[in-house]
Amino acid sequence: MNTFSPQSTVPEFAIVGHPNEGKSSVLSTLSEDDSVRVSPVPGETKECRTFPVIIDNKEVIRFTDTPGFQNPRKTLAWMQQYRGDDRDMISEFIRSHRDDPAFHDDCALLAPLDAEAGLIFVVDGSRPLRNIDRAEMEILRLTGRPRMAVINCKDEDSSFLEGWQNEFRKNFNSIRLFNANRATYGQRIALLNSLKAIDQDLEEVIESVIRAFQADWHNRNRQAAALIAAMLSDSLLYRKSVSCPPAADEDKLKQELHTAYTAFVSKRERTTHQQIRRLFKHNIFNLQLPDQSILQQDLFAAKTWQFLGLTAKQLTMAATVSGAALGAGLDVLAGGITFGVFTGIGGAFGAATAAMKGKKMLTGARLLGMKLDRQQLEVGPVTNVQLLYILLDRALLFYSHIINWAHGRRDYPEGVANGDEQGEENKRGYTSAWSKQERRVCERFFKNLQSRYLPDRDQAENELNALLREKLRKISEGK
Amino acid sequence: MPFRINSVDILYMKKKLWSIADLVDLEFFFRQDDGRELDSLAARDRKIYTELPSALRGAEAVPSVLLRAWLCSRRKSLRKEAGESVLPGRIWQEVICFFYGTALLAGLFSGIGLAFSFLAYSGREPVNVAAYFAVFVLVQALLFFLLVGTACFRKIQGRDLIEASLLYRLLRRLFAELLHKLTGSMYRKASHKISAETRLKWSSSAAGIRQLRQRYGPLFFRPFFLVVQTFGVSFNIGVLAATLFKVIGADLAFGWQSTLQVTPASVQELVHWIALPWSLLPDPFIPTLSQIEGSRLLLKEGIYHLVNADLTSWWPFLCLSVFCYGLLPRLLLLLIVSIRQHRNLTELDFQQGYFRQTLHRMLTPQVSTAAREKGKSSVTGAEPASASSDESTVPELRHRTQQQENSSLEHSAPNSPSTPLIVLIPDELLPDCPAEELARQVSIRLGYILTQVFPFWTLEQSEEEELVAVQKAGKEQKRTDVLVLLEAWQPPIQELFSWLGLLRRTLGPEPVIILALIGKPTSESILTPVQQQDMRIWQQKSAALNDPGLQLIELIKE
Repeated sequence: MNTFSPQSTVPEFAIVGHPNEGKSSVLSTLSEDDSVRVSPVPGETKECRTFPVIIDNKEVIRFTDTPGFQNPRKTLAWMQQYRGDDRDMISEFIRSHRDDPAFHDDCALLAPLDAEAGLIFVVDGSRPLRNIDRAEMEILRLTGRPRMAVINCKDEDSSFLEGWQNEFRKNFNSIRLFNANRATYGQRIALLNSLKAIDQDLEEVIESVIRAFQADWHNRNRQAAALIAAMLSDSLLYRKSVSCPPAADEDKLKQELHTAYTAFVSKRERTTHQQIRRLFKHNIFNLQLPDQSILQQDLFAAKTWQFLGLTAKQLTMAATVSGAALGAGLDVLAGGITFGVFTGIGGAFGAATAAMKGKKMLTGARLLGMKLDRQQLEVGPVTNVQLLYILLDRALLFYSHIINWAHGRRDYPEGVANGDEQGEENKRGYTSAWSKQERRVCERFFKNLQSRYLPDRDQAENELNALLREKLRKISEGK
Repeated sequence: MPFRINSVDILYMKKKLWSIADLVDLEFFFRQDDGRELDSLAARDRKIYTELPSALRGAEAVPSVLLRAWLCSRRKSLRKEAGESVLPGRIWQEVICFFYGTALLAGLFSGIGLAFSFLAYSGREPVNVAAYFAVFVLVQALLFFLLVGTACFRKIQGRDLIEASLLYRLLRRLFAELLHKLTGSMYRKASHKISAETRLKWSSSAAGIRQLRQRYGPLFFRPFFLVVQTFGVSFNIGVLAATLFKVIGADLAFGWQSTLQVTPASVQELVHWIALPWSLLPDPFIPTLSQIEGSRLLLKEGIYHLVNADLTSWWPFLCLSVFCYGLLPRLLLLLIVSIRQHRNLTELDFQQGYFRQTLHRMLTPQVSTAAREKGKSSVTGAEPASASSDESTVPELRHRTQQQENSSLEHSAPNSPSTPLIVLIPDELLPDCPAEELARQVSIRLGYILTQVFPFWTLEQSEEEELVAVQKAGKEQKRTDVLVLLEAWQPPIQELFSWLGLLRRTLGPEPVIILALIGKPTSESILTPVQQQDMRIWQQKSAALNDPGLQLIELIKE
């Protein structure tokens, strides 16, 4: 059976190599499966495990994780002395060594090759090349299977890279540098493209796999854009009112309303983030960012508003254009840029805003969507367009972290950008860098959200969706 | 930490007989040293040696005495650091004492209880001689002869008497082989669920147990065998005591019965053979034919017609049967195994590579040179080697014995005679390996003199041929330890372990095999320090090897 005939169903690749070279990491990243066990201790993989990549219930490609070579010299010596039919060499080797526990791993790793899988030989390019590696390459050459070498540098040291590449040129049809811990979507596609070169028979089938991968990725971006847009709609349209009889403690009620409001938006945002996380098949990685990180800051914390969303100038423009966010606009015009935006949020508490703007601002006016009259207290819908930009920035930042976290990476440490020590003008989000037209799409969306004329609303939503899809595509392409 | 030695300590050190508790403590302290920095170990052990009275040092120094001194010092320093902490040796002692006590009491009470329950006689039905004999004599005799039989069989195979014990073999099979099989099947079934680190920990623990057996043979198992014999002895004493008590203080009658048409003559014939060991004793100890005839029970006739003298004639025979076939064999086993244990404990082989690592550290002088600033006291010896980059302080090179552990000092070769060492280097590393630097490191870090370097894993020779050359060189130099240079960043694989096994088989159990690890090569040298993560992996992997004479070190220290 030739697995790679054009009519054949699923191409299979065994990931082979010396122990602890990062085979499982490469596989985990390639197949976007974080259930693959990865560990710095050699010998983590003891049995072969196949990871099919399934798109739309159809298996498109299959990767097999294998244990590392344990007896390369002896295996090579046996193969060199073998005098039978070359096609039976692997099965003969397995047959004669399967009862020897010392050769358990070697037999296990050669088994998929016996089943005519192609092979991806993984090495750690940050270490020197040794005779043992040459022995392994020779074994793989003798198997006669289509093969590709992947240099997975575990450390930053690149001084040994040239030696590896020179050696690989003698033994492999295709060579690729691929850092399993840093590989992005684009690099995964590039690796699959390299697989086409190892066997002509593979070209067509791998091409179809790549197309399936790209279509899947496009679809995920579409879904992520829709999820973000829905989250924005829900958050910005939130409205809640309570009755406020004359005897009631007005401040307490306001406080409760504000708490309910922030809780709703935070929860809605969290839900969307988790949906995006699942969309990109992350089961372990869950954006545990350092304390100072923008994403980990409370949505309504001053720091978040300082480092995400639009700049003061952009915000003034936005307020003017949209005709909304009167309070925010006033803040900016009054010059209370840094603190003013924040006090717009904190204004619901009353005291701070009263100090800044005077009691007139509260009477009958809407500040962060909180309306006060004699009988009713009402929060929402939000009147400050900045919240839209902040939610957008946070969603895009989250998306960026999620898609760029390789599934084979298991260090889950700190080290994501934080929002400390930056001036107000040094916005860290994406939206402040958007063009005027793009911002206008957002502002139209913000304005038309509350429109009762549904076609306007739908059109604004469609425009925002299209914009988001384009932005997600650019982020995933690293632009 | 000054180690004051008093006369009691000296007597203790000179004692030839080791106790199991001492060995347990010795193992405990060896385990504590696992993975610790070699320099500090060497300095500490040498200090222990230098503080010994001159009578125990020098040419007369015997491994047993030195190890006892080492143990004594380690116990004292532990006491000093952690107060009156209970050492595993003492726990062992107390647990074994508890076992002995429990076995003694349990044997005695079960013997008495069982005998009393058999000797219940109310005047209607005499005690069944056959039942008493079967329970208290036949079963025990069978067990004893089975043990003797298997012991003889195992003796032919060269195994110890203990290993012939059914109980021992049963326990061993239960604990060791079952464990092995369980872990084996768990490996297969759950290898994708258990992390490599856990697997390594398991196999290193299992190897630890196997090594214990390899080093001490059945020494650690014999106490349990003796506990079982103690139970047997006390059980028989209990049976005898209860029988005699009943005979003296109660009216007992013994009789025999059978459905088969057994004649009293054939019973007497059987009794005669059983009583062969005490056949020289006078008649009352063996029932006569008439007594046997007179004590036969026919239930339909009752016992009223039977003569009392015949019914009581059996007890001396039964008591002597218990004594000869129950008590005496157990006493004999107890005695033989105790003597054997005693002999083995006085003749322990401390020349195994495992113990020699410590002995070597004790016997190797710690000599170092240190750049010292002028005007500073040479007694402190704590200044770092790189201290004087300042031109105003001219470094003065002088030799001195290292009195205090200081890893930052620059060492030089010891000027005392050292043990020869053969170094094995992978063929592909040999051209890049700076011979002088290697010899220097071997000398200052390990106190050996590098005598010969052999490449291994060459393209020209087979592994066996390479190692035969090493063996030949070792024999020429009497006793030679071997150092194998390995790159720590390369994961330890099965092929290397098979090779190490072959090396051990070729060299025999005595030489210490030192696995000297080096780090990733730089453009300047291949002798670089090892990363701690790599070191940890090698420690776990090498611990899983069944070779107590294997020592793992980092060759270069930062």
